[in-house]
Amino acid sequence: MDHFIALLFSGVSLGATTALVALGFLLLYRASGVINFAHGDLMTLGTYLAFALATSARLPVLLAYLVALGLMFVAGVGLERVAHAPLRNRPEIVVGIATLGVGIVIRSLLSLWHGSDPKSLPSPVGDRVVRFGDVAIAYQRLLIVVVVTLVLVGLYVLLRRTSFGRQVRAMAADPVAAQLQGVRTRRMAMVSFGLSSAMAGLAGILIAPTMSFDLNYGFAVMMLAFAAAILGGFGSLPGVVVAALLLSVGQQLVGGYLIPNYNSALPFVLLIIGIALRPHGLFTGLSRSRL
Amino acid sequence: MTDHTASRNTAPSVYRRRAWLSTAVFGLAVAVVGPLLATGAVAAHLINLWLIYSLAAVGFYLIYGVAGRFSFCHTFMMMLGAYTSAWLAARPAPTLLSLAAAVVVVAGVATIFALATSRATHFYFAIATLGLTELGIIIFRHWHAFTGPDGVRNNIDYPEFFGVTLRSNREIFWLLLVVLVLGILGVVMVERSPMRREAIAARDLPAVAATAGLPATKIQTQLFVMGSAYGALAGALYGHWQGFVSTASFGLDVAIGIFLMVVLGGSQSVWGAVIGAGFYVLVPEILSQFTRLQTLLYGALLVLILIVFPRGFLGLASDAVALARRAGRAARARDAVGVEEVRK
Repeated sequence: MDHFIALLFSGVSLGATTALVALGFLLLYRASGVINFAHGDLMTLGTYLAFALATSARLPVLLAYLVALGLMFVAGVGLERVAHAPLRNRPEIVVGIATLGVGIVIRSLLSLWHGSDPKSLPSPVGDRVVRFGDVAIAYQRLLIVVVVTLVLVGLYVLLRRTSFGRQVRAMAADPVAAQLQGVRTRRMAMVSFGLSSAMAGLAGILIAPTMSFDLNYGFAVMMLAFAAAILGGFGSLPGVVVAALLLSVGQQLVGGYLIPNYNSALPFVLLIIGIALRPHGLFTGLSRSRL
Repeated sequence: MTDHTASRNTAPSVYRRRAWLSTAVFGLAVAVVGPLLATGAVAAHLINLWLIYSLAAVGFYLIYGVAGRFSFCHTFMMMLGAYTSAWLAARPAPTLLSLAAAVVVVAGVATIFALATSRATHFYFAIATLGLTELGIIIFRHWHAFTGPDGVRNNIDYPEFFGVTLRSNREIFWLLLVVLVLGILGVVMVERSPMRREAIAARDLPAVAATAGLPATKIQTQLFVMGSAYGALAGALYGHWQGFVSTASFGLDVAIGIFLMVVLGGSQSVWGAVIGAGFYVLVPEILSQFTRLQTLLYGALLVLILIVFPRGFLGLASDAVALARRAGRAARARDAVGVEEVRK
């Protein structure tokens, strides 16, 4: 039972992070039509920025992480300028390939900067744990759940109650009509790249203290997030969160009890099955207008 | 074009490209120049690597260039081909049988995968192929009975055909060259058949193609399977040549590398894949002092090429030729005007 609770908690915290990653690129996809293959590398970048600010620059941990999030917003806008703006009139998949190229650039710059050794990020709540019976749960895992819940509420309010959210939903429903109605697509694209990138960075900063991270860990989380997004119906906000949680908890439990070596394969199997069964998820009328 | 030249070339434009001739010239040129260039061990290795990457890239050209599918699982197909062939060769089985088995197994897996994901749009398909590659790496790392301890298969037999064993780089060069030329001939046959035209119609004008009754899914599946089989052969040959296979030799980097080769060379022609593969093999040599910058350069190049010259090196070359022709015509026109003036 203790083992189960420990697995459950690590599954939930990983799932919450995955949901954050998935929502970040769904936000971008809705607002600009681009699937950002550099999203995972942005998450890695955010983690390394936070690491550098907290350890090398010796800023207070919380401040360092806030500064890192700000820098991530700027990085997202930069990505838009490099990989999206010059290719706006080309097929969207070409932009996707360009983001993949940028992702490689980010990863190799990080390897020049920090090398490829695994690192660990200090937690803003320290290494303290809370005990449930015999199980020790790190405060960081609880923090993840709290922060992700706050971000979800914030995102809901942003999309439903603000002018920006209305414009994003208009772009998602019909980009041409939205443009004709005066939605400023360029500014929208820049802001949503920035927001999405900051969300990726936040996900990295949250999950990194619970594990060691290296250059490729963001990419792995991104694949998990792709699976969650596809299984969650690509665009329904609660659907993606539920799928991310189920996927991560399921992965932990399968790994903990059934087949330890192959548990990391689970998301990919589900991903391929999901695509085989729901091939039109991206453009079906219902899910397209939902966000 | 004037009536005069039109009446001289009545054959459809596909047949005027002299594809057979250029393939033969390419094969002969490499057969002559290759051994001359292969002076040292490094050069011989690089030339063989170029031939293998070219074969894989030619297969990917069918998937991406012709069928227009964005796939990241070519590296998975190469890996599966390499492991299948190595597993069978250790039974032991003749090389020819191992290679054939690699092609058959990969073609089967590719068919199942392509049919399962045939209704997926571009993004979904790209993500599914990414997932397949990651899945493959996990499975190959743990399925020791098939892939060897920790996914590393050592001591794969040298290729042997009818009692002749090919051991050195120089001997294997001939095998690789023959396979590549045969592979390009296969592509030439596809391009001379209606298949290419139909695939391009299905790729660029899906609605029109569907109205015209073209079986888009069937064409794309066939091209995907054929391209993957090329990848399988490239992977299997790589294993027999190097003597070992591991998941590290075919990571996601290779998937992106193959993308780069085809996009860089020019995805509108099979020769683009061959040129791109050459570039991909040469760059690390030129930048050998800056090995750490290599991936950085690849990533930056990918973005730059998509933005600045989307038609790759070949597109750049044909633009240059067109420019030179225009300049030549302009010069001739100037001369003609000059003559007129003198006559007056």
